[in-house]
Amino acid sequence: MVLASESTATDLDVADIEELLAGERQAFDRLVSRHADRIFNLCYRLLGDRDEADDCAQDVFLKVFRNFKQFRGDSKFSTWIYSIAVNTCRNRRKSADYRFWRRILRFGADSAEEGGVLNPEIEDPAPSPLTLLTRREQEILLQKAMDALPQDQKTVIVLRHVEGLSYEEICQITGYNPGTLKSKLARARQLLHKNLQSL
Amino acid sequence: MDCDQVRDILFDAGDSDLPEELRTQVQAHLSQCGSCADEAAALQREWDALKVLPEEKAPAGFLHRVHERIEKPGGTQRAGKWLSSVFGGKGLVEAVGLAVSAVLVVVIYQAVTREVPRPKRTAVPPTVEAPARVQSFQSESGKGRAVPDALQPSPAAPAPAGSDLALQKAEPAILTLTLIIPAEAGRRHEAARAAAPAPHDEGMKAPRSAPSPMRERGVQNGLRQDLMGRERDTERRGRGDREMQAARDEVMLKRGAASAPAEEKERHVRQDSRLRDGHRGEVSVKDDPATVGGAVERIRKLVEEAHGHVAAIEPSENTDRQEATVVAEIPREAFSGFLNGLKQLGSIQEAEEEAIQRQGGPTVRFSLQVTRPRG
Repeated sequence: MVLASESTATDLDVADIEELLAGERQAFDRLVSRHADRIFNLCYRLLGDRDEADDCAQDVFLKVFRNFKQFRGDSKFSTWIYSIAVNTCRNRRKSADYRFWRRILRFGADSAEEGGVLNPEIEDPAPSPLTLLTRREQEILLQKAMDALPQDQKTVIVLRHVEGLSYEEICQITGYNPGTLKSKLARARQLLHKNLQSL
Repeated sequence: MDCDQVRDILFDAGDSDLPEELRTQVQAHLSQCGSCADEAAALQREWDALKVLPEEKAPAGFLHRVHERIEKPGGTQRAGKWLSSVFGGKGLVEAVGLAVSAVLVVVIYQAVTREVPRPKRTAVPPTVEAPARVQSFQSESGKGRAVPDALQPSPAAPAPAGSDLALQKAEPAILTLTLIIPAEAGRRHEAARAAAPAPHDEGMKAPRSAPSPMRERGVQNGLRQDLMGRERDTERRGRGDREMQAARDEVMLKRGAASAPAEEKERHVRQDSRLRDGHRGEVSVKDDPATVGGAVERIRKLVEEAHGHVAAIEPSENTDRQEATVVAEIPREAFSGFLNGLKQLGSIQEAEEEAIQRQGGPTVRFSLQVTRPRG
């Protein structure tokens, strides 16, 4: 999956930002249309819930609309909006409201999010779930295993392996230095593998 | 390279390409270790599965909902608009500024009006009944001590010419002394005055065999005001000045006309003529120490003889006695001699020696209340 790294998309983003700065409201609509799916997908992968992702993605574009004058063009527009999305999702997961509804919805279900490790007691002796399940089931399992990761590890896994961003872009979005990013990625892979093996 | 090292490398590298040398070593181990080879294959499937996760599309109407939220003010904006309506168009920042200003005003007001804790009282010499128009004199040792408000010595009061004494800027402790002039002396004096009344001016022409207390009080008040006015004038010109002395004598002449016998009045007149001729005469009040005014003049002279200076004099009126208060400062070594001089005028309630010593400094500052019971 390639982000808006294409020169075409980048050029369009720059042109739309300039028009937006000039007061052209429709330029904002074009930016939303161009990035809505990617931002929604990122929010969904980070939050694991469609409604939450919808609401959070709207927040992201609301922030873009109110702060587009702060975009200096030092990085790509996609990188800038990704950093807004990551921070918005992080804040939402920290919010008491989010935790409350997550607790209500998952009441009675097996949840091992605390500590990022799924319950090892439910380990399946089957060779590998990924080999046995259909594509849709694989997707559900992967999302469940990612949801069990700590937020920072989940973020780097999604940005690196789902969104396919480069290390440099991830460092720009998250603010981590390369060493920290590599370390977090290594721990995230180990934990994700452990979670998938335990499903 | 063992299994743990290989698995660490696999997790660190992820889907990235390994350096050529390291990749060779890892592949060599995987070809020999089936467990690590299975683990590496599983990891690769996981990462491939992550890459092919379907991209979730934004729900229909996403852009419309974004527009709605842009147009619909949030909670903060609604609060800001409400504040704007309340504060007449001022925004949230102005409202917060007003609130902060109000808090600052309250804090400053409390700081300004906060009462300074009073120090403990350290010297408590015997006191007399507080005269009218007095305030509590708050000093280091004078908490609750009665000193007329007009007598509060000003730090800027000029020191007498030729004297190195000056009132301390910071209010030092002050002693309270009381000089009681015997009523008998006053009665003797009044008896002599009644025997030979001699009107001196228009207001005193009527013979007086027995002046009423009210009339006498009126005369004393007039003299007192005259004396104070002279005092203020002469203070400005400098103490010890010849003109000041003449003024004092003139006041005493008036007083002598009102109350002294004829021979005393003649003596005052003679003295007055001598003053006008440029001679410094004797202080006339020494002949009339039985009154409060005369005693005050005598005290002033005692202070000057002790190389001190008088900061303030204020008479006061009471129903059953005449009073005046003298605030002065004299060198410590001359204080005992000054007290001896006071004893010539009447009985004195001295301050405790401990209180005098506690005052410290090269001078002794005191408030002397002169009182004479009405006959």
